[in-house]
Amino acid sequence: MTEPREKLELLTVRDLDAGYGDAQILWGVSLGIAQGEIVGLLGGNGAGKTTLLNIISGLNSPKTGSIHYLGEEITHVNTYNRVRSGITQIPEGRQLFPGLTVRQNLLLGSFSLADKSRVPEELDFVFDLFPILSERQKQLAGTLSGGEQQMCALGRGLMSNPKLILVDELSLGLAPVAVERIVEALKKVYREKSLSILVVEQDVHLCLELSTTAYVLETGHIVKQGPSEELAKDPQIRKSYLGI
Amino acid sequence: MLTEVLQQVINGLVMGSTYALTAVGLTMIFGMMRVVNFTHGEFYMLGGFFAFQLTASLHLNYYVSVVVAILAVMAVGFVCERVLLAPLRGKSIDTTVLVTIGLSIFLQNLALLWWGPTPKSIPLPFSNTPLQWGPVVLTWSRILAVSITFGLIVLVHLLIQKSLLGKAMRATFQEKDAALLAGVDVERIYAFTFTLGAGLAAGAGVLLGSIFLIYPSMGNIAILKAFIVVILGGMGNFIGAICGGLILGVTEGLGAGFVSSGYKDAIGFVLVILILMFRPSGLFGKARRL
Repeated sequence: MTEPREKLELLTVRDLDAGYGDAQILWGVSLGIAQGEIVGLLGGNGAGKTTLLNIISGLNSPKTGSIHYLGEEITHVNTYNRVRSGITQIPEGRQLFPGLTVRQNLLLGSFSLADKSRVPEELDFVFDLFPILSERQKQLAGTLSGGEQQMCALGRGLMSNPKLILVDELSLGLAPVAVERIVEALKKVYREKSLSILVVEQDVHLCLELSTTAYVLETGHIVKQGPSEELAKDPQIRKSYLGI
Repeated sequence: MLTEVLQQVINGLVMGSTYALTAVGLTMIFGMMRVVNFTHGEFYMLGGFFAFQLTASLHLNYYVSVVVAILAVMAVGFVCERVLLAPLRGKSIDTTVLVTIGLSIFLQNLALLWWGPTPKSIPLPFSNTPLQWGPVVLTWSRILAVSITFGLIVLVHLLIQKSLLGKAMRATFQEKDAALLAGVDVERIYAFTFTLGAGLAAGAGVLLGSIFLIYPSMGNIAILKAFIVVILGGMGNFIGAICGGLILGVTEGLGAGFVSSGYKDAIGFVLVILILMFRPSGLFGKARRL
């Protein structure tokens, strides 16, 4: 989309091995995200994309390997402290709090903000980004349409004033027009806030269009990495992911 | 006849409110943490004994003792949660059940060792002569019990519905991972929930202990009643626990008055069998969200 603003490393993942019980999901995965960069992560079902995101956000722990964020090791830091330091994950399937209102969902997003005086500002930003959420703020989140839920999930993530957003399957199960709307919003967020984004997407076109660098994950191994433009031209990727 | 019904209903509501108080804590801990807390009855018992110790031995003011006893049991609950349950997070429900049963046996026998098996009564600052309220007879301790109980229930309800902490509790209940990702320290929420639940059980123990007697095994029947109420209201259902408690209390009151007081405690079990046969998710439909 745009050139990275500066090539300062924000997040470095080194030699991650991870899995559930005997089933190993990730094999020696390494990945880096520079400040102000959008990184794409491609891969089919079961490649280990969500597991990798969950390890970065701290929901899962790796067997071996390390994660560094802003120069400090955070491999064993718990999730809420990672959120506090600016890592936010927009989980796959939205995972809103269905019994709370849209507004309550958003406000909980800023639960970790030390400076609560920022909350109204963040809320305004989200409502400006998605005016529909402002209209529906008193409605229970469980009653929103899929697209609105995704907006609410993204909004909730933004409420913590993140430095790094991990977006898991933004487009999953949504109408193309809703996807377009949310992608536009994500681009706007990227332009207006100085943050980095890790996009996990099954929609390869979308993923390569959004990102400057991308990684391809296959059955737990990083099999390819490079500038997204080059990957988009890669014959193997065109064949196996773009169906061309 | 009508007077008698009214009297039994009132008695039932007094008992029922304390059942509700015990059950609210139990259902909250289950709903939030997926822990079936068999120690709940011992928190109830400890509430009674702490209040007894404070009033009878230390001659503290009764009302101060009630508050201090509840806070002391909350401290016990907090330590139990941190030391025994926190390390078992994510383990199967059977594991935590075994731990809470073990803890229950331990605390009950500790109380037996410390206070002995003889039932004790908490000295009250007011006379317990019955007051005639129109056709109904009530004692001060019962009026006090029902007022404090409802006060506590309303407070907890407001805490859960209105405060940011309460919203974080509900968020944890509804989507634990998303709550973590929103920056909620879920561990702190668990510790707080368990501590609060223990405090509510202790409150019920102090108040019923002021009406009846206190003894080390008094928690056994209390926790059975609490389980009945939780099943009546639906597991993890706050409002259900309150209504379930009142229903059980009134049914018991009427049953004791008109069938036989010997069958009083059996009535709850008949209710549970009926509920499990016909409405296994509780009287209040599918488990309502906190």
